[in-house]
Amino acid sequence: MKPSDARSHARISSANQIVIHTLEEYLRETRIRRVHFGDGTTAPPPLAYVTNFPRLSVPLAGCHIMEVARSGRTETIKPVRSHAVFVPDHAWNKPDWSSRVDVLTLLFGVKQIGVSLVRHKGGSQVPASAVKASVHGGYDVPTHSILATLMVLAADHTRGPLPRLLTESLLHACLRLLKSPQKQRPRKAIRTYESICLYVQEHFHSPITRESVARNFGLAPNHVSRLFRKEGFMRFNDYLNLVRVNRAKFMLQNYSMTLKEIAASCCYSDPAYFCRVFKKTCKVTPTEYRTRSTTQVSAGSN
Amino acid sequence: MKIVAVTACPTGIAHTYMAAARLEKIAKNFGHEIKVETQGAMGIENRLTENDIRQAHIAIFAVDIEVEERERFNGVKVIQVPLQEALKNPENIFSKLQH
Repeated sequence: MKPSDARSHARISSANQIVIHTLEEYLRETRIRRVHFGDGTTAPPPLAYVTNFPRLSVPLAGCHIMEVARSGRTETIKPVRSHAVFVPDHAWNKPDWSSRVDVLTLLFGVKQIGVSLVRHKGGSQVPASAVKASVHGGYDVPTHSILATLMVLAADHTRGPLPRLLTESLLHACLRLLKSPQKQRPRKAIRTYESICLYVQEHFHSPITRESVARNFGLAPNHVSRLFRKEGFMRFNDYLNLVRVNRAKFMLQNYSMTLKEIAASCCYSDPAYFCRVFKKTCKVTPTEYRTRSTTQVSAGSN
Repeated sequence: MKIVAVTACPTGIAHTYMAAARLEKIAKNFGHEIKVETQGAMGIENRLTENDIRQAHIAIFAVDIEVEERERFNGVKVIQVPLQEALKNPENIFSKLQH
């Protein structure tokens, strides 16, 4: 691992630590007393926050003044600690960062949950500090279900204890996710190896070589060989042939093209060479493979 | 033109994602191919690969904070604009590219 990688890993985990600590302390000391729902029933003013995912803001200290739309009217609300603001997807809110506030905002993306802990001294649009943490590996079932229920309540502007209890539950569920062990990002070598594999799968019908692939990825040809040996336990050319032979198998089974045509479409200019490669990989010749699979298909259909 | 872009704002709550959507839409109107990486509170999403960056003619940074892992863009022409520019006048960014 390069030193820069180590630094970024350390930074991510320390951001998560700060957010976990803040959320734990909040939930130990505070009960949610009121939930404000925003909706999208008036046109958003310029620079209002509109996202295609829902958000939940929880002021920790100070007053998180903002405009929201509610039932066709634009209102200014002044939530403080023990309040929460839930903004569903495509609805809007426009925070006014002019007064001092510490606020925790949770972002509920399609796959990811993000948390932003912002401290504003007031009098400036730029926060004094912002800590961003995200839950990798996405939702578990409880978090997803609680969020879905809260969205239903937001759509109905439900009153009573349900919104505040569910908001508290959602915070507890997110805290649990944040504390669960994180999946490490795969090593760089594996990522490069995987992207080369994808590239080969997309370009097997062009005359690609170890050298052309290396050039395309800005790597030395020997480095490509090393990646395939260490990460894939095979040679680059064996992998390329494997991809081409697999494609040929599919065409032999499903299309009535000649061997020469199939060889050419997999970028083998010499059909005899194609047959040799095929036999080496599959232990049968292309013609035998075709006969065998067509007999099986017709036997299966009867 | 092939373009890569990065959006990031101090809080990472909304403008990062809104700017990314704007850039994608307007770039298409100008007939460009674009991929936008967001560096918001959800972490780095739609990550630009080495391949994306090498093939790009230009990189647009619509950011109000430092770009994470900026060294990836060494050797690429970068235009940096304030994030609000991408929200208010994204057309301006692309019409400048034509000249």
